[in-house]
Amino acid sequence: MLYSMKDLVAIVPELIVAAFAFAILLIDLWLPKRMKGFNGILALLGVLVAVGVTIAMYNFNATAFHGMVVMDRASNFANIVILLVTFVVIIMGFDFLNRENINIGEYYEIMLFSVVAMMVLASSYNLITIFIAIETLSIGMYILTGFLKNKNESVEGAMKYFILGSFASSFLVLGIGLLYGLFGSADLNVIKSGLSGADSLHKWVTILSFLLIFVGFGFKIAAFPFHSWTPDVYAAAPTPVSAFMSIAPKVAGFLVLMRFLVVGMAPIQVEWSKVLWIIAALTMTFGNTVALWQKDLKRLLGYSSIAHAGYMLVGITAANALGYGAVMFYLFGYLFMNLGAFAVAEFISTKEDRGTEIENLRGMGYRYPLIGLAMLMFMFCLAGVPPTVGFIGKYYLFSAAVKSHLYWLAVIGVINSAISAYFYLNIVVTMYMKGEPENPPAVLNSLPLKIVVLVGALGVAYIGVFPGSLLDVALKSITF
Amino acid sequence: MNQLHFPILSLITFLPLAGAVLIAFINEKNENFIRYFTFGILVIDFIISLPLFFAFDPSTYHMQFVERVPWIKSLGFQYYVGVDGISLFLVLLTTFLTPIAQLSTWKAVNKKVKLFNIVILFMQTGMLGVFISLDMFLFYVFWEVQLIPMYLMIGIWGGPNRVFATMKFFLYTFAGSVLMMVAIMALYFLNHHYTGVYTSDMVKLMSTPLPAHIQLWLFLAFFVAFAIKVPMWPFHTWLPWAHVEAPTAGSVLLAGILLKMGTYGFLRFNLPMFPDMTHAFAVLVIVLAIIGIFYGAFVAMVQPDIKKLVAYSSVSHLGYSMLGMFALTQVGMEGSILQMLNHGISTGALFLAVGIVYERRHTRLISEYGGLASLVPVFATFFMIFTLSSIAVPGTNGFVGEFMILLGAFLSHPVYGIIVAFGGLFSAVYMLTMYKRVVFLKVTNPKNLDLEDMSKREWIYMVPLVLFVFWIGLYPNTFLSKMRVSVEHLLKQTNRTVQVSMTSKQIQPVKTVVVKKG
Repeated sequence: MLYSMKDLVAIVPELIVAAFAFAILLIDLWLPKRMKGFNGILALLGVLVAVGVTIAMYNFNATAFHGMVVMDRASNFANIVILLVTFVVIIMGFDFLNRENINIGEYYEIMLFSVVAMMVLASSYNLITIFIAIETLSIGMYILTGFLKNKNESVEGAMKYFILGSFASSFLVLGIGLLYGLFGSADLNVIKSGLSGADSLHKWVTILSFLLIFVGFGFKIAAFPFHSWTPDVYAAAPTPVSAFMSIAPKVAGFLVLMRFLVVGMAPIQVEWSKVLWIIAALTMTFGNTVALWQKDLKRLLGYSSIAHAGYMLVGITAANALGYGAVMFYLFGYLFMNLGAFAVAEFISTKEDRGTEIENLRGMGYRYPLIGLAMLMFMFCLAGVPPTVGFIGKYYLFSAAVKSHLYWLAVIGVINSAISAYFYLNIVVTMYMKGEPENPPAVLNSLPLKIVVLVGALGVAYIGVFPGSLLDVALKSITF
Repeated sequence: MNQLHFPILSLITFLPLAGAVLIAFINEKNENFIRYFTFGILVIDFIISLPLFFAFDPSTYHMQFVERVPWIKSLGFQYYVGVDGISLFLVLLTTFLTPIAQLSTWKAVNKKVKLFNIVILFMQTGMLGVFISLDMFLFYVFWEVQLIPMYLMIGIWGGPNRVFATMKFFLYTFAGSVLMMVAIMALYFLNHHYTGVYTSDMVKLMSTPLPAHIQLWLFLAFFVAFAIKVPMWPFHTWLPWAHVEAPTAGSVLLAGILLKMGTYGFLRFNLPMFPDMTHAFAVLVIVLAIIGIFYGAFVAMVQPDIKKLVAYSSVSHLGYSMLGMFALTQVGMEGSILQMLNHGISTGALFLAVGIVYERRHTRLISEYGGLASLVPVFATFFMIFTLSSIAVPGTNGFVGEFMILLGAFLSHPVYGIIVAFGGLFSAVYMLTMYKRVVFLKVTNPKNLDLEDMSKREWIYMVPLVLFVFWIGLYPNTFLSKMRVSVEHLLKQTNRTVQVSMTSKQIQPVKTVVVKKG
């Protein structure tokens, strides 16, 4: 009837992941307990196929389902990042899930379904699709957070996340409703053209609804003041899930935020840029300042991820092509550094407690030289010291701000870098300079995990030294 | 221009890095082998850096031994390296001093020897990279990269307060350099705004200065970053900590080379790129430099710890270098560059000397020593040479540098020149008092009776330093003749557009004065 094969082509990668998720759902029923690992292999395979297809379709441009979703380079780029994160997280999880006895099919199904939602979110071009995708992925995230159902913290974290998340969604849906009321459509292009000829009342209501919608997005990307769930949830969730949450939903969230602002809200760019200026500055400063006092590695990474969301908001605030490209580039680099750091957190975690105390890292640099060295690189990378991808990424983000004459925002950003160096380096101090403990704590001795750490470190260094081609791809991915 | 038709600068810079990678595969139990291997690499690196000196063409200010490869094409950043008469000697100083510093650690560093040598090689790459970079993005990358090895060196092999010292060192320097990062970005876009080209090529940026009103903030941002590194008073507070806690080799490299990055940065960025602001701020910088000269000297006088004394004398000596630079005269500028080398040699040597006695006695307190002249005469002699060189006694390298700086200061700011002339007096006071209490007088502490005199290894690394003390002291023209044209060119760039006037005195174009020496 209304849809043709063409529409389906635009969502082939999403369909593939969904198909594998359903396959796992079915096959899981017949798998004996000791073979649950097969689900993981199947999930990996699905992700890999989807990545391959997305890369093959990278330059494909399509609008499908009456403009509800699009496929363009930006969505493909974001989808590749999301899928790579998923791939790594699944590998990271193997031994962890076995240890915690949660190696069951549901874990993979829910993860893949929320990946589908993220991919749809990255491709959506209509506020309705955006809302549905955000809700779907959130449900997956809530469940995954509470997956350690024997641990009170995990369940508590999930509950907290769920309540706050629902609250944020209500703002989002209100904002969408207002926009629909104003312009009679939820399509970004329609909103844009309606807005460009609008009177000042329309404009002010649009600004109001932009603020409401931003509450919803801000919650997803953990921007101040909608961040408060982040450290608690990261600390409570199973570590691979924290790692997953710290990147994948943000990739989709940032892309869709850019689409919404750059396409839909283009006529009020001056206004949203001002709002984002303030939010970005506060987010960076808050995340970095509070992180100074953290004693738990996962909580620290939680605050650090708030700070990094702030850095990326700088790129959007700049409102120029360099800034948007820099955000995409940063997300890609963030994949390596943050997953690496979370993998190390998982490495030092123990079954009995949450076990990611920074103190557990004492002497790591000598007990596990390679892991220690990798962690050192992740920390310097997160702090933005060359020759790492973290430095290059920040350089692009802040230079986009400078290009748009937002000098003070760039200065606030780099001062934040300096503040953050303190707590990131404190971890290096703990690993190398505080002597070795008498009874080294147990570690999760998992080969796949170690491989993830080392590949992460290599990626951080390689992109840090040769960022050229990736930067080109990231810059060209923004076509809207 | 690359007269050797061979990427010699890259080879010099990245050979140590390659060595570090190789060492990673050696079993850490073979400590001696690692020491020899590292030393070998550093010596080879020094030897292959010598052609730079001999093939250097002193008749041109253009960059030499240039290599240029596109790096990040979308933004136009290049791997662009080369040296001129200003950076040539800093490169050579680095390749000369690092093997010496490494040799001094053979006994002093016993734990984690493998990691230590990897760090030292990595540092060598970072330091050389700063001096050869001609693309400001590349410069910034190297500038920050070399923070990592120094941070590790102080933090892992340092003294009891090492963690505090290394954190203070890192955060202080990092905070300054991130501001420079914003300035670099701004320079990149503003330059495009005024000249229509996006470039990070430092040579190009030096030749097209921005309008005076744009220069102010850029000048200040670069100023803060470099002033912290030098360090100029009042940005010096990290330095004594870092020096006292660092292992001997760390102090040698910190004083000898890392601090020079600050002074070098002024020569490469502030002076040629922001000439108007350089003139506007010259007096302020000179005043800060003079405060530093006296402050460093006064604080050094009351130090009970030899190493801390030498550290504060660094603040004083680099004050001279800054003074000579901002006097904006040919002779002062040459003196300033020479002073950088002198400081690297003399202060480096003093730290080595402190290290030698510290290795034997595990204390650096002046009061613990006394009467060393009769116990370890060879050491006392070496120590005296470097003490005199640090005081700038005629015949030593220090004299030539400080004399030229004073001359330069007299030419443009006579009053300040007169004030500074007294600074030399104070440096004699603190150095000689310290020398007297350590080396002369009677042996009061029985623990000193078993002191051994210098070993063969210590001879090997002290002798070359003595050689340069007298070479520069007696025939500085070897060095001055190579930097003259580049300095002339730099001054021409700095005096090019004087659009801001503060007082009529400062904007007089400075005459080029060539002083015959030797």
